[in-house]
Amino acid sequence: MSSRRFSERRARRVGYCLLTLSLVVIAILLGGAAGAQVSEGKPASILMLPLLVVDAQHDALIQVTNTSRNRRFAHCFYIDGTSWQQTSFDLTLNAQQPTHWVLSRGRQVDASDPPCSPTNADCDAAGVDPGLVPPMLPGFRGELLCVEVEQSGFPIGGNALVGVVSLTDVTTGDVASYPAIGLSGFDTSNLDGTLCLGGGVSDTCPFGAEYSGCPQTWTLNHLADGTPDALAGSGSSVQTTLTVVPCAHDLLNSVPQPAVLQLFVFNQLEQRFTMSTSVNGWAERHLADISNVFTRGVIGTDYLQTRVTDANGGVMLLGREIRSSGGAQPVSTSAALPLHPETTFAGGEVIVLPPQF
Amino acid sequence: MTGGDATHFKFLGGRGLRLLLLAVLAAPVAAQNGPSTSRPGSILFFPQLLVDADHETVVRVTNTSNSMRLASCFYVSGDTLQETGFDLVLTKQQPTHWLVSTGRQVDPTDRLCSRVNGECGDAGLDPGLVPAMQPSFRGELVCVQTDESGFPSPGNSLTGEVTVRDTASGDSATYTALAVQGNPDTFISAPVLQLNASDLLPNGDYAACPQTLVLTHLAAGAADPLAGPGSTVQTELTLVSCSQDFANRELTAVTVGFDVTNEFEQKLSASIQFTDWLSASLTDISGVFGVALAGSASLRTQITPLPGGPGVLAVAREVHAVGAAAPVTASAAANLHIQGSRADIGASDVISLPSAF
Amino acid sequence: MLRRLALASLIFLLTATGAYADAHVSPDEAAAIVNYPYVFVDVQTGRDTFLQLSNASDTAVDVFCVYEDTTGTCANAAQSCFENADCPNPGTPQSVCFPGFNLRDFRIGLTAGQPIGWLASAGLTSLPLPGGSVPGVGGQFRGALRCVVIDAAGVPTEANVLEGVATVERFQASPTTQIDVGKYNAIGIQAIAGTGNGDSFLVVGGGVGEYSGCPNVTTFNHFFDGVLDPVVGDGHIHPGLVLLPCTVDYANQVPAQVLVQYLVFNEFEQRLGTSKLFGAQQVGLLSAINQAIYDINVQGTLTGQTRLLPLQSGVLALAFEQNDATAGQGGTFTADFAVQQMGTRQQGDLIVLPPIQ
Repeated sequence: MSSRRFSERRARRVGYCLLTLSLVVIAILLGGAAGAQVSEGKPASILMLPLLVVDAQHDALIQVTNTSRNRRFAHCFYIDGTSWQQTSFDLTLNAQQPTHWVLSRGRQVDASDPPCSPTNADCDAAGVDPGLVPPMLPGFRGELLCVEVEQSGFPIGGNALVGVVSLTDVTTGDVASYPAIGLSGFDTSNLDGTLCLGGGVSDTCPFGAEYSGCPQTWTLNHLADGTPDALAGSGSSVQTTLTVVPCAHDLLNSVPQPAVLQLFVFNQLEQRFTMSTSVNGWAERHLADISNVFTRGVIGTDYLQTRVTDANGGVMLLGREIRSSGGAQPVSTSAALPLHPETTFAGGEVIVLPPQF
Repeated sequence: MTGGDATHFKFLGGRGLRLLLLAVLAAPVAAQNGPSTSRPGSILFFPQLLVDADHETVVRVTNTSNSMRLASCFYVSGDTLQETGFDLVLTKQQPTHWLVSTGRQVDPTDRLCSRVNGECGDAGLDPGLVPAMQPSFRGELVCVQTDESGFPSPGNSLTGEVTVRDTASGDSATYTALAVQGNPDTFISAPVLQLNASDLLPNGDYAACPQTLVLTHLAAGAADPLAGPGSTVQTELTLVSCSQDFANRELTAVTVGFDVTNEFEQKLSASIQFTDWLSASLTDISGVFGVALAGSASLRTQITPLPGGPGVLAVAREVHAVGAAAPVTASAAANLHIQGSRADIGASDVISLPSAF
Repeated sequence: MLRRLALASLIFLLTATGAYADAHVSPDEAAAIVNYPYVFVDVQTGRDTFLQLSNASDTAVDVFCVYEDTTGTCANAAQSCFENADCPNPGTPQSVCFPGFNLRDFRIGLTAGQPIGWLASAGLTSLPLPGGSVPGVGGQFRGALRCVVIDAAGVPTEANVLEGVATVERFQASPTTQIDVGKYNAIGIQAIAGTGNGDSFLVVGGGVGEYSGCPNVTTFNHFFDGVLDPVVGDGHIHPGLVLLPCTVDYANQVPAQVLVQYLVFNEFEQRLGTSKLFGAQQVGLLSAINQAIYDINVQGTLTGQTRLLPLQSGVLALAFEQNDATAGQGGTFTADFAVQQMGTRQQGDLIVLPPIQ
């Protein structure tokens, strides 16, 4: 074989190797990036439901489903956004089983609950009860965090859970639904009570990330506060609220985690405004309360894009749009706003669970 | 003697693993010197149960371990000295309760307590068939932790409380059951429990009864410190033998001595003999407990069983009465202090269980 | 600052493991430190506490005691309070009862075997035998009492000789006579022979403890809140809990801040959890810890087991039940009873004494 032909063959071989390697690297990057994204609606191992409210006017219906073909278990925590007191309970879900409960009523385990039928419409508790779920008392504003565990209580990355919350105005019947925000689990769990969200190997996370990392930046497309509803017209208005929950949770020591959010607002004239706000553990804010820049009169256009970034960690956001009809007897309706996670916090965070004792 | 169930850290690996290693490397925790109200045990003594026209007793038993536990229990009538045995099955961490007069049946259709159902006294996993002790009962209850075959099992998982209620006045008095710890390393080959272990002699089977019981009390007939003249305080003492023969019902006389010290360091003494169980007011036991003879309101009484005879355990109930003609009363139960271990003076007790047939 | 560093260093050292001598934290045995977790005086409602302290040895001892007064002060008025409801305009955000932490110490001598007793409100102007006096706490007091055996020079000793009993009483002479009593044994912390170094830093547990360590997990059985009395069938039962931190700094008058994790099991083995932070003392119904999980209508069974795990400091606990019967004399009947402990804290606690004259 001539040396020239040998060189050509070697060059082709190297080229193929480089191409293959590149494809592999791209696949890893893409796969890693995809795995590092939170999911709304995709089964996950950690479910976060950032906004739950019980008061004279509001209640919430919570639905959780096991999407796998095996029995699954979850350890859940209600966390009061004001007092940071947590209330925990356990769920057991059979294969493919959905379940639900009303926030203010909870759910008992009662095998004698009658099923729904043409003659029995009072059947809210029908079904295989998932466990004893405590009710939250009026005045509760906070979040629900559910962690998939195996039967003896060790957290696992089974990625079987999905959830939906319907926030209901019990006086008007208005409903706003949002899917739980899910964090995918990996098979790197070291079965301790410190859940490692993203990031790499560390003293706290000796096997690196056990769950996908949290978003660091979210994008929100919304109306400026005070913009009239397009259908209701003059006198009506739209307001946007944000519920902010830092991803890191210390449920062992019951310490709320702080977050400082940078907000970048773009109007339709490509003008940009910036502001910041701090959150301790949990917060629900009207955008107009964060800054009057969000008001129609200040920002100058009706439609806005806002990017929210936590410089020091990941954060979960839920947007809600409240439209009021105005007039002598105004009525209002609300809807969850879709938010888009853009980037993932690379530093890694933890959720620390209290021990079982 | 090693202690009972240790704290169970469920999350191994990382921080949990380090804690587990520390626990393993640490020296064994010291066991209780004798029967205790502050630690779970393998034998529970409930010295005073009372059911009559004016009283009812609620018994509560809890399995504090993370595994199912079984127990063999025996009511012993203080009047006839007849025993009535029954078995309990408790799932992990399960508390249970029953009324002595009505017992408890096994009925999976028992309805849950809820806002619409207040008749739910038997709601929960029924621990077994508990006999009704009607129409009256004065006596004790002894529960022994066993394995599935009925053999004694020193797992140290059981705790208990008793509430004696006055059905006429509503008054209640609660005491904690005396728990005897077992040596988990011991091998028990017969249904005979040797109460012969102590901190100094840790290789015995079960903790020995104390050398001395100490009762701090008001002199019989002394005025209630708060209500003052026109009121009286009486103490009822219930003594039970540490040795119990549930197999052959061979009963042994018990002799105890009382050494009374008043606030002036003056001493008086008395003694009494009984078989298996005694419940009597201090006034009926001896006049030395009366305020006239005792010489001060506060007394400290040491109760020592005669060497060579069985040991004793006890509980006291203090009854405060105001008014002479139709006194208004209130009572409080009290556990006694313990001193020393009979094992350290070469004494022990035996509890014999019936063999299965 | 240096003192705090020294304290922090000591606490750090306490995390080391080491061999345990045979010493206990228990209400059953005489000890070198006795703790009365609940002392209550409110003359306006006829409440007082009768305290009894005995010397179990046959030699005279000196005792140093400290009353910890956690009676609060209203935020919106210059008046004492026990609960927020005691302050003007209850239910408003300003109507907050800030707990206090005021100390009052005294020193007495007890002769061999001597018992003494006194009403907390009045104290004892002089002991029956020469030995000092006990100050009264006045007409309004809620807190605790701790007593430590010392020598003639005021140095804490290793003598496990103190036994304590408290009777918490309510008496009302008019308009109708009412009386209610609850009794408990003071919780003793035994000294470990050969470990004392004669300073004012009393190391409780941990690897280098001079005294037996405080419990790791505390557990007790109770009725759920609002249970219809199963005995009387009239009135409801309300369970409660008193917690006292093991760690206390008398020298700097700094109370501990303790977060406690709670797990609650009902008779179906179903589990709920919560957590709560407290300061110098926690006194209240279980429903005040978390109303939802202790509600009978949520739990569905009459009794439950609570397990609690304190974090920053060990705790000493006392359980109580209130029955608001309408039968008989009516009013509320209270019963106090001991709780159980499982394991001993790996991390020690510290009692820092002030200079003793």
